[in-house]
Amino acid sequence: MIREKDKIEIYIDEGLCKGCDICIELCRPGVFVKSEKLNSRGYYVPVPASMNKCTGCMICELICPELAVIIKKNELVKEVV
Amino acid sequence: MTRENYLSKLKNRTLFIQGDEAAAYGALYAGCNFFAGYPITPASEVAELMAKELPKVDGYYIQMEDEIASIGAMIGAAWSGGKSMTATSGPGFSLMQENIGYACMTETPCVIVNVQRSGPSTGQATLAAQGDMLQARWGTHGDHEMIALSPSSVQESFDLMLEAFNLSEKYRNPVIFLLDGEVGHIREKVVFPDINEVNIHPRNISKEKVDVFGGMRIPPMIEFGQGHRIHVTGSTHKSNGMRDVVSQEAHDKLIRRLNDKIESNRDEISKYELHFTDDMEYLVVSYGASARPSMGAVLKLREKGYKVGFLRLITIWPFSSTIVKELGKKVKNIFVPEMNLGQISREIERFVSCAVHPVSKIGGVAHTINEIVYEIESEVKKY
Amino acid sequence: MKNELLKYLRTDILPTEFCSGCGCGTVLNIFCHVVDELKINPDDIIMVTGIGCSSWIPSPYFSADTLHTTHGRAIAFATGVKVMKPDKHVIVIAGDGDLAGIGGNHLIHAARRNIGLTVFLVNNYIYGMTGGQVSPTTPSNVPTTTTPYGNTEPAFKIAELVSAAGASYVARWTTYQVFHLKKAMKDAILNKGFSFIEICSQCPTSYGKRVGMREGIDQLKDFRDNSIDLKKTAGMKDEELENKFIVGKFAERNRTEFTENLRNINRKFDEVPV
Ligand SMILES: Cc1ncc(C[n+]2csc(CCOP(=O)(O)OP(=O)(O)O)c2C)c(N)n1
Ligand code: SF4
Ligand code: SF4
Ligand SMILES: [Mg+2]
Repeated sequence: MIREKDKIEIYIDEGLCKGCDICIELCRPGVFVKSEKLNSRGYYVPVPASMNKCTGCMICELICPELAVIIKKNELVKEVV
Repeated sequence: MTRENYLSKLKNRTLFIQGDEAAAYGALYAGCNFFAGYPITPASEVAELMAKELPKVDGYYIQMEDEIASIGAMIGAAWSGGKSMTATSGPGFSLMQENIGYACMTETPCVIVNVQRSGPSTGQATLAAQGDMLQARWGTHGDHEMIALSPSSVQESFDLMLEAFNLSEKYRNPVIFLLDGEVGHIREKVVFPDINEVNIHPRNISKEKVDVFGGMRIPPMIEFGQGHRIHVTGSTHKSNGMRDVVSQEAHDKLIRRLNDKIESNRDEISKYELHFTDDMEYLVVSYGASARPSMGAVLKLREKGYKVGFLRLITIWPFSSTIVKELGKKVKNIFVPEMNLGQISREIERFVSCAVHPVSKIGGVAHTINEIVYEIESEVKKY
Repeated sequence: MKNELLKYLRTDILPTEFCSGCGCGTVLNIFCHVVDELKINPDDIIMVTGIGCSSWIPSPYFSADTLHTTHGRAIAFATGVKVMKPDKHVIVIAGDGDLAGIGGNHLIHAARRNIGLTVFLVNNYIYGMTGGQVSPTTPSNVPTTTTPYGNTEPAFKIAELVSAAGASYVARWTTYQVFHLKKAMKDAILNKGFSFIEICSQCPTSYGKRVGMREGIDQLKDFRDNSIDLKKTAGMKDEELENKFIVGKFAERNRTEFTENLRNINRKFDEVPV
């Protein structure tokens, strides 16, 4: 079976993130994990560890209080399931 | 209707009107196109005339929910290209104080009319006083300078209103127009000039991106909506308008400049009238409504042989200290008739070494000539 | 990788001064999305704010003409702006204490006039900036620094109040319902008359910790679990709605706009062309 899926890229602007964990906690499929290392201002920034689980719902990008999450939806790619 | 057409109909006409109304007409001549106010005796006539006439010059009148809203709307309009004004009396003037400071801090040109009535509080709501002379100077918190003018006649209420708008534009500072219930309500003749012969100080508006809050003593202004993306705040700010509320230097620099732009032009702003000061031994200083019986008293005393001179203050703030200092050296006594318990008299004391006598009358009734003559004569006879 | 929306902000002063997890940042974020999606040129926006953390959302961060006024007076100042600049989007963002406490009178009168302002009231249930004193929206019994034995007063229902006062668009959403909030912000900006959204927002520092929710995410979960659609509240008892966030559109009505009414008067004095 072949289904179409957005090719999604997730970026975290480490310079802006304040490590509030909102994106980590509210992402339903659980894309993010907390990083092991501190950013320059002493926060543990999230890491999109399971990028393939992302549904592109955009909640994290909209809810991040620091505009630090960027979701890029690129051209459609076909995926074999 | 265009403002030009409207004013051309008034040209050279003579009307028999109240001081409040003359102030409103003066504002229309000055180009005022926004008025926000709240009714209060004895200032409502200013609002009523503006409500009727402003739409004719494509201006806007709004009655706000209170005086705080009125001054707020007026400042907002000023940053949006408006020449704006409000009018009130003591209770409303008290409510406006916080935002008068905001106008000083943000260097917003605007005119605030205070038709003074008897206070404190509701006092004698329908009766005149001159009790807000110091509130006009120091009512808002923090170090600041103020410009305040006080007319003594209905014609002067008109003429001086033009000056009030010009000063507010020139110095980018709020100007307080200190009428009193007497001059505000009295009816006298006003002759309207030809608008082409009236001097109007245009707003110094920059079309370029410039520092609006520094870089020079009186920086140019901008108008909202022209792509400047300017930041206007009552907090201590840098010359580009962005907040800097922690640095001692930033605050010192800003506040000293704001004070300096008025203080260093004190003599230029200061307007007054002198009579019989060449041979005088005694001086009477007065302003506003009380200047009228004061002048009468001076004439009467001179008939009686007393060498009395007269200084009528037109600009109240910044205080005309230069002339007061100079005249103070020539006389033995200074008498200050005013409708309060000695507010300007106390300011005069700061600049002279001779004796200063307040000739106070409160209670909503103006001095009579004889009252002033009596007080001065009985004091002078002691010597 | 930088967020493209940063072009709407004064980036030299980022990151914001908001506490970690504060809802003010989310409101700013969604507002930027809205401006971008509506393709509004920021030169056509005039932001007006009061005093408080929520007032910092536009000022200093959003890059447009900005009038940062005194506490509670944003709507009054904005009234003068809108009268002189009727073609611009005049947008007020400020807090519950600012707009519904000290400035409550201006709020209801602006709604009554139906002046074409857009007002986003960020309700964090507390005076955040001054360190957590009770506000007119703090729920009963909550302890704050000035109600150490619990709040003895009931809270204002602001969306309902503004709707009753006559605003032509009123909604309430929380910072959890980001998509609804984004849509509502667009509707509010495009609506011609007085448009108002009460945005329930988290303040972990000055409010959350007093109700056992130390982190921003804790309050967001509360919004998620306890929001109820206005349409579903018909017939529900007050007790059932206690501690619920009633969200949805409270008003959308056609009324003539105030500055338009003023302009119509001025037109009566237009010269008849010869
Ligand atoms: C006239 C006046 N009174 C009091 C204050 C102090 N003050 C500053 S912010 C604030 C409360 C702000 O609360 P809110 O509007 O809810 O904003 P928040 O910080 O919660 O976002 C107060 C009381 C002030 N600045 N001016
Ligand atoms: S929501 Fe934003 S600020 Fe919070 S952890 Fe995620 S990226 Fe960082
Ligand atoms: S005090 Fe509250 S409202 Fe203010 S920045 Fe912190 S979390 Fe936000
Ligand atoms: Mg608050």
